[in-house]
Amino acid sequence: MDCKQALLKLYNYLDNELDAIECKEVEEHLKSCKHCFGKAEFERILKKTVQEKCCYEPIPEQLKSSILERIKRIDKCSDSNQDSSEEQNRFFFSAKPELRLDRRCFHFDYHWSFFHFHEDFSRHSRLYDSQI
Amino acid sequence: MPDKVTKKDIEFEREALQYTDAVYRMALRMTKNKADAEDLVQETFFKAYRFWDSFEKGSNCRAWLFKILTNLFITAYHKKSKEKQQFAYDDVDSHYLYNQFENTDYKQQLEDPEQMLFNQLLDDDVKKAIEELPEDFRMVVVLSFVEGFSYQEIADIVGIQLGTVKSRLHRGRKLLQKGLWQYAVKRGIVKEKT
Ligand SMILES: [Zn+2]
Repeated sequence: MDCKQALLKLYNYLDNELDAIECKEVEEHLKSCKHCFGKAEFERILKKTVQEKCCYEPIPEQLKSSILERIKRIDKCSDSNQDSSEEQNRFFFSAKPELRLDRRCFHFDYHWSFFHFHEDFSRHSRLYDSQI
Repeated sequence: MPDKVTKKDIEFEREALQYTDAVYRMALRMTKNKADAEDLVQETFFKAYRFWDSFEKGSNCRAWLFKILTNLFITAYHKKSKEKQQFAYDDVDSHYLYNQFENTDYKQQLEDPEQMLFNQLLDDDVKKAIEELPEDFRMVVVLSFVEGFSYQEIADIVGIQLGTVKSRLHRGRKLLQKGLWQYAVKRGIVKEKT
């Protein structure tokens, strides 16, 4: 395998998308070619860096509990879990724009009051749920 | 109203709700703001719960949730975004960042790129560089780089051909490298050649 072939397969190699034989071929080349090895290391660290710098962003507790709460509420409101897809769409798409607008304004006006606006949103969705 | 916890609730909490962080992270990168990301996450889990019966137990729940999220994003958010998918990416080489270093006065930084470059970039620089990618590329880049899905899993999640995954990832990677170089310049880690 020459440099050109090795570099062509480099990203697939780093993404674990090569089979065992191809993997070995690339590795053999990287062992014997300092230049390609440097490139491979650079790309490997780059990939690792992107992953590490983006991975720690936990979901806000408030949002997590509101998901739980909403799921529980839905179950109790409907007699069956097999809701029609029509009802599904009504919830997702017809109710949303209005809510979204509300939230957006709120968010804009009161940047500091994140939790407050969240409560406001839950209140709205509760209202909506009871209408279903 | 008395609280009754069903078998479905327990199952859903155990299988699906362990991935809230990952789903939230993806939603943030795609919508680029907290308010929309929160909506998208809520909708994703809400839909997942309703369609829990159609989830094949024992299969990859994380991939299934990402598929729902991606679908919702494409149908509900994509339309309102005015983002142009046209993008000049053809002038970007493969290994863009590496070549930039090699062709400038910063060759010595290649000796230890982790210390000399990557550790000096802020988390926000990397997140912004990702968010500046066109939507289609951003989606596959996040699924691959951040979430570590395989090309085949990404094809299933986004609903595109394997070849399309590869080409989007290839272009996305180039653009991401170009973006990161610009943040390195902005941070004063390197100076743009004049
Ligand atoms: Zn070589």
